[in-house]
Amino acid sequence: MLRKTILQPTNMPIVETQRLRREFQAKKKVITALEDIDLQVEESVVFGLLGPNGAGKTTLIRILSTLLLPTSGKATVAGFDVAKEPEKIRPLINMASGAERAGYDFITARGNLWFFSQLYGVDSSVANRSIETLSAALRLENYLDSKLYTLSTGYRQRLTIARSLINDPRVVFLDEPTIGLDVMTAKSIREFLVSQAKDQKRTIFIATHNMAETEAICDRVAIIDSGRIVACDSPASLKKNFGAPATVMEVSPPLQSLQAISSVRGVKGATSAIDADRGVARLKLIVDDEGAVKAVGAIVESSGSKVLQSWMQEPSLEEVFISLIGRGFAERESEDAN
Amino acid sequence: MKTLRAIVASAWVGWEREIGWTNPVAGILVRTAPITAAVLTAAMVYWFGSSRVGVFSPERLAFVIVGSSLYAHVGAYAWLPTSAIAEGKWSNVFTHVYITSTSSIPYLFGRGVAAFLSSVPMAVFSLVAAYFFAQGLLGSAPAMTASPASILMLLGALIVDFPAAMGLGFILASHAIIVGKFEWALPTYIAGVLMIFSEALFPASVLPWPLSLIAEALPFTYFIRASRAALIYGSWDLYVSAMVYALPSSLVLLFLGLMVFKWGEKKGRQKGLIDRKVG
Repeated sequence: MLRKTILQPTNMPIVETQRLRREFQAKKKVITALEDIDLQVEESVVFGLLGPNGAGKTTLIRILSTLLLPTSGKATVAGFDVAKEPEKIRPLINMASGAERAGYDFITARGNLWFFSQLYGVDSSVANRSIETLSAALRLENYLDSKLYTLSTGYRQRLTIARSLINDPRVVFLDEPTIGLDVMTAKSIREFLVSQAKDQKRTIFIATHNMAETEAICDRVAIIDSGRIVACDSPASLKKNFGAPATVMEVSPPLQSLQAISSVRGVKGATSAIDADRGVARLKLIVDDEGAVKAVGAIVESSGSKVLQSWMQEPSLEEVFISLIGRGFAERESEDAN
Repeated sequence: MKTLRAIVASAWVGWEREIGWTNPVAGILVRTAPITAAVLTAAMVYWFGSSRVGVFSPERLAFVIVGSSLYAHVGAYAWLPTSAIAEGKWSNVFTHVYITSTSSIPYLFGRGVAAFLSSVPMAVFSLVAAYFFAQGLLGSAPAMTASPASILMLLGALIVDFPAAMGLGFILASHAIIVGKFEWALPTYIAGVLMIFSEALFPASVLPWPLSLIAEALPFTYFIRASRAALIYGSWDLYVSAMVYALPSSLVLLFLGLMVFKWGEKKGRQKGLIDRKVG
């Protein structure tokens, strides 16, 4: 690839933040999007920033990719301060978001990749070789000469990923890179990202609310909620330290509110997912007292619903989040919306 | 070298953007707008002038045709940085341009070069179309000359004006970064003001003091004067005297534009507006 010297991994973190804070001035109030963020991300890892919508993931990526200045605190990438030395950081990074267009509709996929390579000053012949290599790895080669507007969502997203690697960056920030993709495409992109970290010695920094994705590919995960990092470790350690087996109850008809259940003594957290087709809700409970499950069952029955079945589930990152925050992503997002 | 690559690639993207119309009708409308504007302006001024004073000199008609055609040409690419940022915010392209190692200035400059190159033939076509329109329909041949020397002089004036138009473009682009919508409000306002202050339709001397000073300070005034010296008066002395002021003032405006743009970018980064669009 393009990088002339692949830097040896050092003990120095490639991305580091210290008491990072970002506020936005709304009409009559100040909104704190990030508060006291302390993070250290090592080289050549896939690092996940996991949190519900509105948790502050995109804001952190915007700061680290030099799009936004922090209100206070410090953030460095490759040792350079994002606030004071953005011009030194930009050649070393790239960024992509799964939710946005990859480039100009009126030029081809190849043209878009070449254009962005030139903005990084990459020699044209080197850029052309990279375009071939990346498009082959992302199975994009048959669409390189198609104009962007003719590409499907999946191929546009592959192109977005290719663009984020066109300058051979040391750190790539990806915001929801597989959002809206079918299962197979998402899987192939995840595999590609892992290979980029392991084989190309890149740091892949992914912001996502996809827990399965985080668990599948991330070496380390920071869980973020309401602008604060609530835990940061490997997925295995997070599950070991914070996860607890969940009790899952299938309830019909679905409950209107989780308020009564959340207030039961011994319930550390509860979340509910509704299966509209079957007319049931799947209640997931994290409890530290067996008696709490019985009490919840009683509340369900007293509210006119029935527990159809229940079982235990091994902890995943979802259970970790519920244990830490007391609610699931869906509940947090609806709280924020209200 | 890195910056040059970025400018060339951006000019290529700009060229594709300028000529790659998927809707031919829209493309023709946009491309012929300066010609139509020039012809209509010349016709209106002629008719009003004739009805008020009874006569209208061919030289006066040429004055209006050259001024309005070249004013439209400057407008066609001076607004380009604003357009590129507004379009780039909506398509998210500007975000990714901004975080590249060369960042946004070479990109906007390259897009400006493409718009300039695609606008020059239209400016020339506007002049020719307005000339024949005046001769055919108004029955008054404008006092314009087209010789190799006058065309070269015009080309020199166009080139010297480029930094000034880009400077103005960068000033307006800083506004486009800071606002989340209505990016065109300020450029539209400036376009109207510029028409009055750049000698597009009448000499700066008819403006009351101190407004005439504004016109006398703007490089666009001298660009249009130099163009008239080339195409109407055929005067080397007038041309040189206009260009002597046009060149340094054009460079000063470019420098000023870049400073204002850097300030706008800084503000945009502080407030989180570089990649923000407001619905």
